[in-house]
Amino acid sequence: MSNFVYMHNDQELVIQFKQSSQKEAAFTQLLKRHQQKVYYQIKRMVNHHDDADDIAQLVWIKVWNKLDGFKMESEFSTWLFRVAYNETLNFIAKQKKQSSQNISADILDYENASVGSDHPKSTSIQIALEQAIKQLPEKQRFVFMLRYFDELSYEKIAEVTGTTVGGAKANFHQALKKMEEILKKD
Amino acid sequence: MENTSVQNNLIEDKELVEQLLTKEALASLENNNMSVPAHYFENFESRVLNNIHASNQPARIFKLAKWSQLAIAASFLTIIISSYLFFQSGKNNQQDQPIVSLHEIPSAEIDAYVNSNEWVAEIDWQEEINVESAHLEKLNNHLLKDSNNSQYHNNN
Repeated sequence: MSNFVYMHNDQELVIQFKQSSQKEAAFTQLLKRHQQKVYYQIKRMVNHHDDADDIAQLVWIKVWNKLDGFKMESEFSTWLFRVAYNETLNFIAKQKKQSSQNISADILDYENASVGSDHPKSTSIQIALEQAIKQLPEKQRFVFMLRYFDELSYEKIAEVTGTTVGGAKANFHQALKKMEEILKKD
Repeated sequence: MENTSVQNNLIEDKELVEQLLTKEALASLENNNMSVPAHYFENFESRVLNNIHASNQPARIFKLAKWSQLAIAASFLTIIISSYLFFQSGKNNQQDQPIVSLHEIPSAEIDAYVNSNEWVAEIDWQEEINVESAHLEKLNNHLLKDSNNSQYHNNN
């Protein structure tokens, strides 16, 4: 029931946004409601606050520019997660192009980020886990995060990542298998 | 019923993850991801809106006062009219030159003109005569040679 109310409210705000007189008010409400989920979804993928902040801002600017064309065939939150997913993948692809760093240096960077001043002290198990997650292909990593931390259904994950339900399930289980292999090696 | 099975599947998947990766490590990982600078989410909305307004700002259009518009139009008009008049007057000057036929010129004026150029004319004639006489001399020499040769042949 609460889910319905939540969905209904989002839809109402989208309609309100499309009536240009109340655009900003509706947008602000949507942003306030979803900004944290979007930010955390991005941060789990890029690990650094500054990068996550840049991507999150791009996502919301895109939402402002594209929401008029949103046909409401899916939930607003699913559409929003999809925008965030695409922007994050674009960012990672650009970074890969720019950076000539190899995986080991990347892992080192990851470790440094984990023990950085704005993070609590990381245990060795946690560092191993972070390294294992970091080594997953982007799509598997994304599916794993959406399933475990955001607790999304496979149907919704499939919509966000643009795959089938079966594909989303396969990605999740492959991610688990791969992490198990990596952790066993260590 | 369907919701319950979806929920059960989710619980099963989470248990599967927690068997492989300890719950504590996963919680700690999520805590790290949850840490953000102070007041980050409070200020985020205004930063996004500022960026949106900055990117959607229309091009600045300068509006001139009525008198400035008239002054600019008048100066353009003045430039166009004055350049037209300038070119027209140039044309008229050329057309205003009087056309005089030869018989209208007094003979004394023609004589004076010819006399003033007499020396130049003489040189020209002298040069013509010199060239012509040199040519005739060559021809004469050639004929003389020919007649001498034929005489020599006849004698032999």
